Formats: sequence, structure tokens, C-alpha cells
Amino acid sequence: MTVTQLAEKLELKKLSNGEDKEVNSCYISDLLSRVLGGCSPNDVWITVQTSLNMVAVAVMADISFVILPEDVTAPVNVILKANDEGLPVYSSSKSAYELALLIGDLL
Amino acid sequence: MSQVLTQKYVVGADDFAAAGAASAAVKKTLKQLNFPVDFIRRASIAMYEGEINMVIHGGGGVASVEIYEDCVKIILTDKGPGIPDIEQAMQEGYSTATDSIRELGFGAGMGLPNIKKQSDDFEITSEVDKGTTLIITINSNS
Repeated sequence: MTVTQLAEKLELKKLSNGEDKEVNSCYISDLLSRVLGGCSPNDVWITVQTSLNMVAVAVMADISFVILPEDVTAPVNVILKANDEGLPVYSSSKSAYELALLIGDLL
Repeated sequence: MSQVLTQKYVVGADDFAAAGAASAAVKKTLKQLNFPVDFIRRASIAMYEGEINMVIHGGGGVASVEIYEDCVKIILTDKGPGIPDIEQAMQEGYSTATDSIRELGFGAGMGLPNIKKQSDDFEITSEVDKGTTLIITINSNS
């Protein structure tokens, strides 16, 4: 399943544009080094981290896209950076747990 | 093992907005050189962790990246406070990061272990009040 397909099924709100990569699995953490060490390529990453470093970590680790749960918003400069890097970032009113359950069913 | 090119970057201290710029540039170069995706990811993660360490702990430093046909050697040198106990610093979960650093999502105590995990060869030397040097080698065929 691709980023766009999954985002549509999860009714996510798009914050930045990027490559429509395949999504293989899901990783949830707000500790950046934990993500770098634990996630897999083509994961969707659910996090409340909204700094520029979130974008850098996602790009370094080949994350397919990022979901900010519970209507968390990201600063404009972070969204612009995500656009520049081709990293899709979405937001959702659902919690990380609710999203993970749905993603588990869909992937 | 013939050398393709060398890149050098100056990494600023406490500049979290720019942190990762050197790693991002190296990742782009490795992509342009058509290295395998998994190799690029390992090199990117290892270098980013090292770069962040220089920003947080090292007072900035210099990243020198030597790209060969079959590997990359990343040398990160800072003139920071140094690491008194390297064995302790290499333990997962050990961190000296401040609360303000942790609020940015860093300070999980996974940086150095992550670098080692991604590397085929990893050397760390440090002297208190002098600084720290990391030499990270990642092979493209491993």
C-alpha cells in the first residue's frame, strides 16, 4: 500500500507533499535515536515531535511518511522543510494507538 | 579500494535547526553515486547520530567523509569536553543530555550504540577537555 492510499483510508489531513512511497509497517516513538535504531525502511512513523530534527530523522531512516496524532500541528518552517525533502507529513485527530490498530488491519 | 571523493563539513555547536545538514548532503552524494539503498541508509543514520552528538555535546566539530568504491569512512572530530568513560557512554540508555535537549527528542542514550550497530568498523577515542574523534567505516557489500 502506498502513502496516498493509506492516508486516504485513515482519513488523514495532508500537511506536506512528498514521494508516494510504499508503506511496509509502522513505528511509534518520540525519541529520535530510538527511531533511528528501531524503525525499518518504508515505515510510517507516528510521533508528536514537530521540530526540524523530526524531518531529518525521517529522511535519514527512509521513513515513507509521518503522522502527527491527536491533531498535533507542525510549525510552518518544519512543513516547508518536509516539502523540500519530499517527506509527506500528515495529521490525524486519532491517537497513536487508534492509528496503529487501523494501520495493522490495513497493511 | 580506490577513493572516489572526500567531503568536509563544519558542524556548528548548539545549532539544532541546521543539525543534520552535513548528513543530508552526504546522503545525496551517495545516492548520486548509485550506492545500494541499505548502505546509504546505514551511512546516513550513523553520520546523523555522530553529527548530532557534535552539536549537542562536542561544541561543534568537523566531519570528514571519504567515499571509496566499496565503502565510506566518516571521521568526526570535535574539541569538546571529551568522554570520561567511553564504556559507559556506549551503553544503551546512558546519556548526559540536558532536559532542554531531551525536549527536542534527543538524549535517549542510543546515539553511540546506533552508530556502532550501523558500522562495520567503529573506533572512538576521547580525551577529557581535549575532544572526541569517531571513525566510522561502512562497507557497501556487507
